[in-house]
Amino acid sequence: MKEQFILLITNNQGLILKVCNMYCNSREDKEDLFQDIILQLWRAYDSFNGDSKVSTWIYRIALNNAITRLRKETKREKFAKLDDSAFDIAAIDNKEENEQVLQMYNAIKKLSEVERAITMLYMDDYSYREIAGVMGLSESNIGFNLNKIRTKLRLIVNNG
Amino acid sequence: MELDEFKAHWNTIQDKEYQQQKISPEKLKQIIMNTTDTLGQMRSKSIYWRTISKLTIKILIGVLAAVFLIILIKGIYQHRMADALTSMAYLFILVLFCMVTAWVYKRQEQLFTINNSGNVKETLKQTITAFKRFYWMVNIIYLFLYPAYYYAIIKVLIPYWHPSPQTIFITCALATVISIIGGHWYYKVKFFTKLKSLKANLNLLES
Repeated sequence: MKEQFILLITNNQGLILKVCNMYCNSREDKEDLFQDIILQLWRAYDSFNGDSKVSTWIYRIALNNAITRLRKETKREKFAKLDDSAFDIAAIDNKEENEQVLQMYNAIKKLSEVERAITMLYMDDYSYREIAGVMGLSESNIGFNLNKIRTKLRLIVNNG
Repeated sequence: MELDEFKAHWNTIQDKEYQQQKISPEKLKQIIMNTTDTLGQMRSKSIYWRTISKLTIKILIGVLAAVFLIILIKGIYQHRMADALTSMAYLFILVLFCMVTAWVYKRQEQLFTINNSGNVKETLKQTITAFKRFYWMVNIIYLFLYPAYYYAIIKVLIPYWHPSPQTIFITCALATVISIIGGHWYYKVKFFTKLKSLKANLNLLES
């Protein structure tokens, strides 16, 4: 069972890292969250019955953990801005476009925890139905929330 | 740039971040083994401690019974039965207070991770409700336990102090109020900010 679990995590570590990057600023916090998520996934592994896709199940537990966990926030971390790696993400040659991509990425990180979760799932091409399943909302609500998020992002980007 | 335009770059960004942060299979295996082993150890430790605590409670009850017998015999011989029973009651209150406090500290940390397999809205609701229920329950328990505890402390640990009953009651009431305010402040610092953020997230999902 442990071997199966290791394989599952190895194949989906990108997804867990994505959640960690979206919800943490410092490297230490990312590592903490990564381990917390692994622990919660292992705890829930027994009860996973394949009702949903593996990635959806991982997303659900990872997001629940990222949103509800009690962070061991140090003073240094509290005032830390985005991790250096966040400024080195864009892989586009066009400088202006690169700048815009970074602006948008940073704007998404300024959204509320729930809005970030919806945005991430939307970016990863999950259907409204799947997002609704993870978040506990109706499909129409997801559409409404995404429109709200679009407006909010526009505001954040325009206001710098 | 709009969100949907950004979507085109999302995978590129994620790929780059993944390449930068990718954990090698060996390291990942080590992390998973450590985590699962830790959980396994925690479970076996929990079973171990449960067995130990059951044993300790049995020993404690045995010792208390022996002490009780000694006090009882002494009380019969010295014709001071009431004193013997009161001492036992104080001892019981002190033990009860320690047990309740240990449970409270253990439980409050678990509350934020136990409900994790449902959807986000459900998890938020369950976590908030569980915490609120726990917080009120703890305060109600301590509202009754603190006065008894402080009274027992005064009687057991400061036997040479003989104030009037009124002074003792006022002291106990004051100590209780201070302890409850202190407890509230501790929860405010440690948990209320998180609770506020959970509520804001839930409101967003419910609006």
